[in-house]
Amino acid sequence: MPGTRRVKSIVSSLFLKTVMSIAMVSLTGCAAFHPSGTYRNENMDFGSIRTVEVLPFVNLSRDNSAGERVRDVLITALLASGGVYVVPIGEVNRGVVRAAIANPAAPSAEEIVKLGSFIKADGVITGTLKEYGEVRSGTAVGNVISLSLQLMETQTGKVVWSASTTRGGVSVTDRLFGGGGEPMNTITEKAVDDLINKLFQ
Amino acid sequence: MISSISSSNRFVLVVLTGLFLCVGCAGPRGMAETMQRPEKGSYRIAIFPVENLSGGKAPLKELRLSLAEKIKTAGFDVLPDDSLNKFLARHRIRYIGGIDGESARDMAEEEQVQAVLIPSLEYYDDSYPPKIALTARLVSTAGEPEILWMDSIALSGNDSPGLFDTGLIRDPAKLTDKAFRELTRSLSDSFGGGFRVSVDQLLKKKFPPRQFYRSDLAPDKQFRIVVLPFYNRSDRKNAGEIMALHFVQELRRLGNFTVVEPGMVRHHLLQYRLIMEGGVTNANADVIYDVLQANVLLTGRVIDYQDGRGETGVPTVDFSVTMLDKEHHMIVLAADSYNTGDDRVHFFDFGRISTAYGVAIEMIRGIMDRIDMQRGTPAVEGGGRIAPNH
Repeated sequence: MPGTRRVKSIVSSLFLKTVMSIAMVSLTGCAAFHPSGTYRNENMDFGSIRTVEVLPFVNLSRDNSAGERVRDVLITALLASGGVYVVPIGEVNRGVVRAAIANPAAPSAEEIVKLGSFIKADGVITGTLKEYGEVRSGTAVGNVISLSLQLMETQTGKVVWSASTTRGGVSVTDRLFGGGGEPMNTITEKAVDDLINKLFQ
Repeated sequence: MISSISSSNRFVLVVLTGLFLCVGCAGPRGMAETMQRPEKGSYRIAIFPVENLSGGKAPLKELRLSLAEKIKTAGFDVLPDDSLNKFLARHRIRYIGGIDGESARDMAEEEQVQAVLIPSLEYYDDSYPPKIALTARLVSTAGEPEILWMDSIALSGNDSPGLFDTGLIRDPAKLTDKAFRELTRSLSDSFGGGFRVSVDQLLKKKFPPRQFYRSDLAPDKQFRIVVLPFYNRSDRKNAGEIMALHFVQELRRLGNFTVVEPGMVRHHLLQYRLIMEGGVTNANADVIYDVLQANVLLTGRVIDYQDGRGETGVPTVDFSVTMLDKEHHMIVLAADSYNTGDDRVHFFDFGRISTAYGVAIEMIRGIMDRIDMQRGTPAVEGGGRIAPNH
């Protein structure tokens, strides 16, 4: 009888260990699929950034106007958050011309400092729109947006914050029932909100 | 018997006296009103040729004639076509989407015209279902041109199909006639009310903006606003001008915004050679504020402005708007909107909007609702809310 009990306890402890290991492996797997994708400079006082300018985005998508579209949404969302003031686009463009920035979508640290001296802004946001539009997976169709942003301070030209996000795509429901996924407008809004939350967290 | 007669006589006498008194009270007030306001017949209007913003072909001459006919029927004195054409040729006026101060003065002096009606055609499609969208505004010629009345209409033949499609309008002429009747009625009503702006018109269906920011728009302050044509990034021709016109119309309805006549804005932009390719700079804005005595400026960008083609086409509108103020050189309002004609459809096409005009107007009303001063939306305090690292 005591022998049977010992065997039972060994079996149950083994079972528990196996279940826990599987759960841990699963959780690790989940974490690998959803990286936070955020960098924050630990020495930076983000409270000092009150005014930012948003430069034109690098547009790697097939839609030519997608960069401007997402930039507009981001500017209004940043203003609406109440966290920072965003310099009007016209002033930003004037600053870019005055600072003679060759590629406004990817400025160098020196150019950022120069731009900051022309336009009284504490930070400059640049971005890359990696994907914007329809994606296909077999017969299923969905919309996807993939965007990354960088915040650079104008005093040193250093990157103090960087984050990326991807929203939309073809989900299991889309594969099973079709439907075309969420509208482009909705996922754009979600992606921008996600990045702003990462900035203000 | 005698007593009953005398009592009924007394009753009749009292009623008659009351009636006379009432008539006596009403009489002078009515007379005073008619003395203050000119009669429609003596109010001379010049109807400009229809500005075609539709980006396609449209029977502009016929549309103008039909509109002029309706306005004449409503009792207004319309400047004859010959006189108008001679005036336009004499003064080499080629832009018909607005009027500047000098042209307005000349028109008042030479043709004794009190106001100019400027119709702008936004959309015209005569294939089934026929569609028309038109904006019209009346601009005074006395002194500085001022918008006295502005309204717009968009109709589609299948707006209200009714039972067994009995409500369908298949004839484009019938639809145009209906649209012009509505516009003329609005003009007549506004004339009757001394061109006062009705704030009640804001209380209609609207789409709230996707993102909205407002700050420093004091509720007790009067604003003189310049609406610049929007940057058009859409595939639709003239979408920037169309969107600017919609904002002019809706901003007027807020009550504390005096909108500068777009013809004046265009004239000064050309006169001072203001080219704003990448957006409005503070230097450009300063010139505009000074020459047009304005204290706020509105500009924006149209990303998408699509009218639904045919019976099943869904209109789509996407734009962003920014308001800058003179005092601080800062953005005081920013909004971003995106909607489609079937956003409010839940079943059987109920709530469907068939024109881009209809969608755009409801989107703008959603923004106007947020800046409506009476409601006192709390202003956003800007600055420094990014949490510091710990």
